[in-house]
Amino acid sequence: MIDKTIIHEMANWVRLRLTPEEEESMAKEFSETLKWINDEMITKELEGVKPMPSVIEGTIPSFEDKVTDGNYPETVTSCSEHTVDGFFTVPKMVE
Amino acid sequence: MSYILKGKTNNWEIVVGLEVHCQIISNAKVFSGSSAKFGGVPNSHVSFIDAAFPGMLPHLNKECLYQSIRTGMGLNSKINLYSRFDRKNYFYGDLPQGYQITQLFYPIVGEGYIDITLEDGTKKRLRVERLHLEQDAGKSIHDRAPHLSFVDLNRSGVGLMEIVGMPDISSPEEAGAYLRKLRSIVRALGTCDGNMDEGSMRCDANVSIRPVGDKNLRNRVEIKNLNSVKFVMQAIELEAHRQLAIYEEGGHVTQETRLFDSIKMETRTMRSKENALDYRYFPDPDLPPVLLTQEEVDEIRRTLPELPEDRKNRFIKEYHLNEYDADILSGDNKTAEYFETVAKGRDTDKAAHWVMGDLFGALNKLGKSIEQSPVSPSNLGKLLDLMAKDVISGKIAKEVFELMLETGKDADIIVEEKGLKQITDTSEIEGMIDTIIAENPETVSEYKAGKTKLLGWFVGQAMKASKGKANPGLLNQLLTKKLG
Repeated sequence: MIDKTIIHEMANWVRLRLTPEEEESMAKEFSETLKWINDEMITKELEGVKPMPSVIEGTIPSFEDKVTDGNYPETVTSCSEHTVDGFFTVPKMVE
Repeated sequence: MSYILKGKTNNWEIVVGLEVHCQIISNAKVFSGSSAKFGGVPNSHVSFIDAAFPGMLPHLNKECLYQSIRTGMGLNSKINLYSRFDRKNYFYGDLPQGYQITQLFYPIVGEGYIDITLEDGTKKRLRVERLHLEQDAGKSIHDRAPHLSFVDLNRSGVGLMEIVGMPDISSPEEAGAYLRKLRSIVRALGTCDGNMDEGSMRCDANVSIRPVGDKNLRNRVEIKNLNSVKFVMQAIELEAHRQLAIYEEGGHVTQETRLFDSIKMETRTMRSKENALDYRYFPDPDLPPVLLTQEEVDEIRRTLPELPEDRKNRFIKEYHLNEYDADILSGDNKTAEYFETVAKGRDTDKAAHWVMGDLFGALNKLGKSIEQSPVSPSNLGKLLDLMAKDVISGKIAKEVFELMLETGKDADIIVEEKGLKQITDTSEIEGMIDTIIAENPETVSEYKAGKTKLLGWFVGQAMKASKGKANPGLLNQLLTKKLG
């Protein structure tokens, strides 16, 4: 069962600002989804079925250790609204 | 040597586990082809993958994987033929993806160990739980503007190995030895430069204490981002005493993350357990698993260089060094090379003594590393040869060594230029002794009357007369004969 407190905490982790009403409706929606997963999937016979972390089959694509990319700082920062001297700038973050 | 904290109610022991981040030596980043080189114009060593542009897919730098495997082998660890990457989710301005790619569930390297030798010769095996491969975040700069933080993504995506140790460490000294050994292993393998002050090796320490004999672990405190061996040792000691004071007063130590302040010499709260982050780990769907064959792993093992532990054992066998000296001289590639050049074909005891004593002392004073030594190993070898051939005495050798440090000149040239050759001509030394005896009849009588301690005074006088160049053995022998 997912309640409003959990939704509030989850929203905080992913930096979403939700109104109490939204938290309420999200809690309901999540609970229903999890119930569906429980009813429809977890209760199925899964013996011998391996977990599938990805839809891509096979082994990880790899490359040789050579520098083949980068060196376009202007392009990298071009989508940012705020830059100074080639740095991205963000509101002050102090731990 | 056990490290016990004495309290009013109990004797306490400390339990420490270290997590060490080692930056991998590679040309390119772990999941992209941009440069992993330190520095550079802000955001220049950055590809669209490192900056987390939508739709970009990471792929794996084979060398970063191999470097992790080599390190795992250096830690006597199991190499896993199946490993996989996961996402560790958190928000921070210098983490453009909103997650770090790491390996929580299936790391590339499993259990292993590091053997340490303490100063008093005690040996201990410290277990390593795992090593996993992950990516570094970018760098934030907070002091360039009052309301802004500056972000440079040049470090974003550089390969890191996180080495997680078991809580087997029971003193600050053991923690120091573990870190130094780990550093010597990665340096010998060429997998990380091990420079803690530059941040290419960083350490977090998990510290708890418990009454001696108690087998249960108590709440631990994690101290973050320690960037020198000294700080790690200091932070552990401070934190252990802080916990001791709490328990002794009947209090309770909270599980939390703390920061070490090396100026105020204290640890302070960074994050309490209530505010602990939930990283919501899950397998990274962009990256299929890493599948290795035993043949690939065996091939990597065949190309490993000599490891510090093997080198240490060889030094003990070949050069007859004691365990502690062998440990110090074999720990670092450059030191080992230097020592071997000096020791080959010479008195190995003397070679070890000079490298660890005079040379290390001088380098320490000069603030130089062994690679920057003004005295080359072959030149120090020449100095030892001059002593072995009785051309100069040990005392003069120290003087010559000082001049070598200052000028960088060869030992034999300095001896020649300064006229420091030892006097081994019996008649010349006898002449000096005769003069001293003739000029000091009263002291001679005192000596003859039984004050044999005065021999030292005569040696001193003769040495002074010879400007320190008389062969000490010969001088002693002749003096005893003449005075006798």
